[in-house]
Amino acid sequence: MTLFAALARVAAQGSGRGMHVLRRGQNGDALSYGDLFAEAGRVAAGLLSRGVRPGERVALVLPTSVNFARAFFGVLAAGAVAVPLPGPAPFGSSDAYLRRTSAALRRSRVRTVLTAPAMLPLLGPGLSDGAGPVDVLLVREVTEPAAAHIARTASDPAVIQYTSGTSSEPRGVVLSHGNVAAGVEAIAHGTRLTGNDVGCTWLPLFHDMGLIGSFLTPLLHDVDIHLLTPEDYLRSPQDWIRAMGRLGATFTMAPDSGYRYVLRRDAAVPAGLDLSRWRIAVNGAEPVDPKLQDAFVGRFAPAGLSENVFLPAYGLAEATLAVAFPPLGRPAKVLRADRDELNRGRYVPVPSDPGRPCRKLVSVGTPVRRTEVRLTTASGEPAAPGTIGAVEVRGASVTSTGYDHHSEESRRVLLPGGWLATGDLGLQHDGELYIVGRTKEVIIVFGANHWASDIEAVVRDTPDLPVHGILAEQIWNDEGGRLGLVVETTQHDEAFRRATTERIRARVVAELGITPDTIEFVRRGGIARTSSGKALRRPPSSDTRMSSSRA
Amino acid sequence: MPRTSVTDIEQTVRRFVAEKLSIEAEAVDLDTDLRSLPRFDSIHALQIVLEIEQHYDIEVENRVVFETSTVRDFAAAIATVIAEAGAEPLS
Repeated sequence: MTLFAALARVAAQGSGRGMHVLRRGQNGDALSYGDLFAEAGRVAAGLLSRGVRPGERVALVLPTSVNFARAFFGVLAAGAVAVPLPGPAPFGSSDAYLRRTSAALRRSRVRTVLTAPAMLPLLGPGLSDGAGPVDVLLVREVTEPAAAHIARTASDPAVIQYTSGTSSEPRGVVLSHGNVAAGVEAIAHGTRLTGNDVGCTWLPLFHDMGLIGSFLTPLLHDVDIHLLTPEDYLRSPQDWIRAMGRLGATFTMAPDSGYRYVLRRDAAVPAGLDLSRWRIAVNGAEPVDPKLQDAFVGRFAPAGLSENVFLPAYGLAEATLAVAFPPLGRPAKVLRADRDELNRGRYVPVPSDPGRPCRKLVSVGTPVRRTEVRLTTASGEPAAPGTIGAVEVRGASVTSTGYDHHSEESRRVLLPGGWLATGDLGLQHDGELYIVGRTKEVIIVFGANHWASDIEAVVRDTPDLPVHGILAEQIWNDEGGRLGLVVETTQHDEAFRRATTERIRARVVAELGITPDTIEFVRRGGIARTSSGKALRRPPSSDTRMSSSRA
Repeated sequence: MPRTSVTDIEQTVRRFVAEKLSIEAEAVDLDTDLRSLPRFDSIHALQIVLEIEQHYDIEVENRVVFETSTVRDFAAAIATVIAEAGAEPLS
């Protein structure tokens, strides 16, 4: 089944359900799935008349809006492949944004970008310079009176999912129509989604959890969705919670940081708030912290929030999002693991003793429908139960192509027998999966992945910066995932360090939109390296966050 | 803009920046690159924009503060939005 055919089936039901965009807490534009089907065909007609060919990649640089939906399904109806990419961030550098966006466009051989009027002044001239001849078009420009539709098959690519926003070394996962159809089906099945459900989320639609989980899954199951823009959520996270109550929303999804941000920004529970219909809060994209889940439920219990609302999930873009879900409606299953034994690769339980150091691991349950998980040791053997192994996945929603026009990276993750290396480490206990760490060198900040090598290159390329080695490190604190930097230098005076700190911060924010929480200066040679000169990353400080000593 | 002087806006911006980042207002010069300040990232930037919006009862699109880096630039951008909205600041 192709995604456009799936939309056609939803439209044929004529339920009147659809997507709704919330702006500043108020109802904004809405579009029924029936109308979306009709209008996507009209966008397809415009793309086809401009020479877009089957299988061609078409980028979407659009805010959360009904036009995103029209453009996304319009591209698919034209037989082309949708490449959602982020727009510019406030206080970013236009040079960096255009350079990074152009890198993704070149990688995916994009010739056509669909965008919104507000972004046109920046993208129009900028991208044509950086990425070769690119047509930057408004959605309404390519909407024609009569609809068109090019048939595709399930094995044809549908979406290129860039996994770390835009990066200087962009990696876009190639997901076929069949992958995405299986992925949304697995999530709907794991969450027991029905027509009575109502979704309310704020995740950006260029992000895998936003696109697949919060947008396509409900849409292709004819479930009403209400989308806040990520900007409105960041400005006022309580708008999300208020909207959940006002709309009687039953499900949402976010990274751990996203729930944490609500607790940090607003202490009060609005009067009259009713969250009693809310049954599922998928918690993914970051390690799951049981204390955060308890604190969130505790805060909103007076508004009727179910104590088992959280669904700690595991997934990744390469598997069209979900890999494992726990059963619904049960308390989080938590292992108290001996920290030293865990570092040696095996789970040994620590008895419930408040003084005893341990790391709490939250179960992400069992593989979702049509998905298999196995754990493999460094020597390629199956990991024994209770011991740590590399997480490998196989199934209908897992990419069989890897990354778009990136054979080297694709070969690295595609294993014999249809298995895919996730770059995560986990263990199995009592038949359930626990994620304990990762081998892939990504830094997670607010649920978004940033390649450590990319961050390090950004710092290294700061003009006139007299530093030697740079190391990007994952930090976990009360705000969630954060970035730390270690900088090797031979200069030690305070003025130098202050000035260098400021210049590094300014550059990292301009390029990446994130800031280092810590910059640690060490002497030259202070970053440990392998014999081949590769920097050794210290284990992330997540161990302390998960520790009972901070309970 | 007579009473909505850019100087007033600059002082307001400095105050909100300092509050959101938990630093002294004196540490925020007119020509300080805001991105060089501790904790200033895209999330704190949006929070600061929200405070400004509420204070002046205006709506600031992302693109208005794109490529902005100093208090001076930021305040000038806000002054333009206020002028276009025809709104008087509340204080």
